[in-house]
Amino acid sequence: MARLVKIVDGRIDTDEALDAVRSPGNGGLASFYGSTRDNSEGKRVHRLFYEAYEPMATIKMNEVADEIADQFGVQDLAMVHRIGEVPIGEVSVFVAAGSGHRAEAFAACRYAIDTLKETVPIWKKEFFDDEEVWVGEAPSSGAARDQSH
Amino acid sequence: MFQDMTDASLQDTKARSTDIAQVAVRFFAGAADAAGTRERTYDIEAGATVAALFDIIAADFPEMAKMKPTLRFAVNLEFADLQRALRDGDEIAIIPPVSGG
Repeated sequence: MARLVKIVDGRIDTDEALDAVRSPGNGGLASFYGSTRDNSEGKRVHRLFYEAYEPMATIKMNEVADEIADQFGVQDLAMVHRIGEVPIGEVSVFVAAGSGHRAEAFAACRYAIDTLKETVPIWKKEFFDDEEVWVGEAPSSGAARDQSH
Repeated sequence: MFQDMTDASLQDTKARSTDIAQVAVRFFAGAADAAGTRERTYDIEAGATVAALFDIIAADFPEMAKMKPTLRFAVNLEFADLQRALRDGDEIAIIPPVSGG
């Protein structure tokens, strides 16, 4: 059984993460790549920046991995998040799960990324033509704006 | 001379009855923007709650007060509610809505 939980400043080594969840007994390997998108709410995004409360983020990611082991019986899990400047179209988060069969591997990946986005203290800032916005927060201008996501 | 010592001793007792706790506050994302800093130390009354600490912080940074409904708080790397009592040496994090992924 292997677990890889990391926060990295620079490109994510997805091969390393996939290798961590391989084992002779794992017939199903599932992975999810989160990639930085060039648009948000109809506006062009030029670049993204991620920041983490690193010691707490690492703890919360490990808690997610513990929950996955409990709920799906999946022990082989990799979760890697990139921080700092991330150019458009590059991998900002990578999740991989290895299991005896595919159903648990898919379920583990889905749970990992969904839960990470809700509980792990990592923040994303989008840079538009005319403003920069921490996603999920009101714009820094303070102007009233619909922030439905 | 004897009187002075008694006064000093009384002051010590009084100081102990309202212990000061020094806590480190860390700001992230929009909260760091609102504070104009990423970390600040506060001297508070030992046992004061996260809510009481936040009132002090919000008085320093008016933009932070507006964010309150969206914020979560962590004490020593775990999410904590507003009623959590603080101790000397605690690290408090002001956590805006997370948006990893």
